[in-house]
Amino acid sequence: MLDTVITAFSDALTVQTLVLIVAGVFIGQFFGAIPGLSALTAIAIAVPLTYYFTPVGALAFLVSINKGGTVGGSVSAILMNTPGTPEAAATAFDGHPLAKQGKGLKALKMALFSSVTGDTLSDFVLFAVSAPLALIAIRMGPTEMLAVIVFALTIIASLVGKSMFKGLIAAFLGLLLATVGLDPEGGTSRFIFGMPDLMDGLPISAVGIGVLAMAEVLRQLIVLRGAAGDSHLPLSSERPEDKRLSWAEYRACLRTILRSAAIGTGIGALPGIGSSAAAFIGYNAAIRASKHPETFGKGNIEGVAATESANSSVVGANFIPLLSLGIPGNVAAALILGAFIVHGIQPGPHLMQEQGRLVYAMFAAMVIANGTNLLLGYFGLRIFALAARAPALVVFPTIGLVCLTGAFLTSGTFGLPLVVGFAVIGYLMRALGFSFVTFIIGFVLGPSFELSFRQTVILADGDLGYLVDRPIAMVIFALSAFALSRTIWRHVSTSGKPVTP
Amino acid sequence: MIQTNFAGAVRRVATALTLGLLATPAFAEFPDKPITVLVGFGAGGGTDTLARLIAKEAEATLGQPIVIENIPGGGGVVAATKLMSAKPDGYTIGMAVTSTFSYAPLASATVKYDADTFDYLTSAAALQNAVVVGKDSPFNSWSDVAAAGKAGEKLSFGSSSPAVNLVMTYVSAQDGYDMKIVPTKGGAEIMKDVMGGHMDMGWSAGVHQRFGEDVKVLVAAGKDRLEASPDVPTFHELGYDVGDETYFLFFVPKGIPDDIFQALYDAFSQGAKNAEVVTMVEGTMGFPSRVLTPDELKQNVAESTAIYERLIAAAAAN
Repeated sequence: MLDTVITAFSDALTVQTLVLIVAGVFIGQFFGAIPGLSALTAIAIAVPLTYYFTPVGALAFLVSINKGGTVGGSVSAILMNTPGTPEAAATAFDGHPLAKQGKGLKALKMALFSSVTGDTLSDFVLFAVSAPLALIAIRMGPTEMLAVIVFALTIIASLVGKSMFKGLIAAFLGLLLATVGLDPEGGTSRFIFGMPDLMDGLPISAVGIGVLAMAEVLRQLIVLRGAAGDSHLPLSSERPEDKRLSWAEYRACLRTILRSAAIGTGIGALPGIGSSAAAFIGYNAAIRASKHPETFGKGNIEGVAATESANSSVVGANFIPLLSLGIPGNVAAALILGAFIVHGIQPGPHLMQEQGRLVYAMFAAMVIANGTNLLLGYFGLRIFALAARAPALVVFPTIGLVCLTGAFLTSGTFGLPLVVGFAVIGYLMRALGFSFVTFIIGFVLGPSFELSFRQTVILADGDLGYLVDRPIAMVIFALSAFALSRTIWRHVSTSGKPVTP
Repeated sequence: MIQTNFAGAVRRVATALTLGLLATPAFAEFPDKPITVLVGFGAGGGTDTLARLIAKEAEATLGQPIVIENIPGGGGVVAATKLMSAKPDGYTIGMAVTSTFSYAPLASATVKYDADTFDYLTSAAALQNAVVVGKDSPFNSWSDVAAAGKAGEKLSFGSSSPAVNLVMTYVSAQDGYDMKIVPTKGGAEIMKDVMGGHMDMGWSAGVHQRFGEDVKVLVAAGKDRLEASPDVPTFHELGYDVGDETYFLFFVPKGIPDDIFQALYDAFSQGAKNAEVVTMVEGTMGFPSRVLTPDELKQNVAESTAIYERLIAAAAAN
């Protein structure tokens, strides 16, 4: 055992690998922190470059970008309220109010620490119990996946904001737009209006950038008309305790962080649910467990911790189905899978026997990347916090431009009108009180929901006994029904007090 | 009308002039600028990996950079549609698979091209299509499946594409039974579902080779037997008239000058035959290396088109 660890670290501690880890984390944080760009964009650009690296170096580089991106993603959500990806949307709920109170740095530090904590814990789960967890993934068939997705959707329903009906309308709009593209069963095209570009559906990056980041830019520009030279953020509070994050504060959030890490790890081990759902479920669980649920959404630092720990812990756990079955959990994992194959590594049940040394070296690189993430993040945050203090009329148009660039990088010229269109939709939703959060989650989970639903219908073949024969699925369905009725009850009994923005 | 014609004439003259100007350095060897390969699938997949491996070799032969541009969507349809409007000068070529040109145009009215719209350059590898079951499955051969089906058991089948649905519907209809054909995301997902007992059997384009003893191969679904399972018969041998050969192939717009076409063919087919590429393709990816000529590929696409026309007609008749 110790031998394996020593060999792994000596394989990973070469000059090339170390340089690549530091570069990868830096690039990931940078791309993650800039709204419109994301770790995914960086990985897509970096994959072809890695063909020239050693296998360990290549994998370490890509994994580091991925890890850096999850830390960086919180920055724009907290400082600008412009999350670049759906997974950071819940970070803005409490992170941005904190920034508005002059506690931006404190929120950023909490995001960093909880992110790295969640990531590290999920990595250790990957190293230690990857094989048994892969067996669980095999036990999860279409019906079980459907149950998990339904559960995720009912949790999201509890985040709908003031009006439950408006929240549900937005969620169903998201589900509807997710049906654009080829029908999964018959392969006939739906809602593509003769455009082959839409055959694979509306690109998620363009929709996410539009509704989450670009729409906020639009809103700010409209709100800030006439307030030319000011920064949209107040000066950082002068009280040192508002800038620092004390050990006691971290300790107070530790339960939340651990809970979210467990949620994120569990969801990451199942391919196809993703870090966005994990983030919202983690956030929701923190509210449920809190003695003061009414403080969430107004700048409760626990909200930041819950979200960031959950979405970061998906990254490590995503490698469980990737390494053991060759099933990528999300787009970033799919790109990394491609890099594996180019370097002669074929993920699958026999990977450990065949390429164990290489995999352990990659694990070692992941540990080093987590440390690097913490160090670079700690010093990088100040710079970002400073940049965000620039006059709003400089900051927001710049973010808008970067958003368009990001859409162009991922979807080509086709992405540009989409980003603008979805920015308008996102702005109208904000202005009219529809939840853009339930919209985006409906959109993100839509394809998996539809596929697993149709698979279940075909497999059941009209026989309800098929469902009853699946105890895991039945338990999760029962939990969903319980969560949903609680949400409805709460909405009825409080007659619509705001829970979250 | 006159104006349109006039404008058309002006444009033609302008085009001729431009072409004339461009043609001035006609003595310059092809290529004198970077070549773009539009890959019809996302970065990181099998098609993309093959394109990049071969492009790296072809780059050395041609002496110009080769840029890979991923245009995923519709199983290669989006990239092929883009290539329709590319100039046939050899600087823009594409990579997709046989069914992009055989099945896709038949299946959707959105697809604006057909098998004859393009010229085919060369191929890199063949898919290893097979029907597989989990290691604990009671089925050990296709006749076991057919017997269960005829006995009235409604078996579930994990499919990776509508083209696979057609094949399996045809096969089961021939023996007079129905199957529950379940759409999936394909690839390793199907292996997970058959190993976990969620589906009775599933389709694999070669990914099953990674799972070794955990899955059993019942039948080879292509034209020939599988490289890795030579004892398993093909559908054709069992008396089912299905099974086309699917290749990863490079394609170009029609009308490329012969000498340029030849230069491209030499560079890319040599690249695909390069020893390192072959080791990678056969050893790591598990696909047999198959480097075909333009004529062989044209025939491959035509054969595949004929099979799908027949399957679609049969499905419509039922």
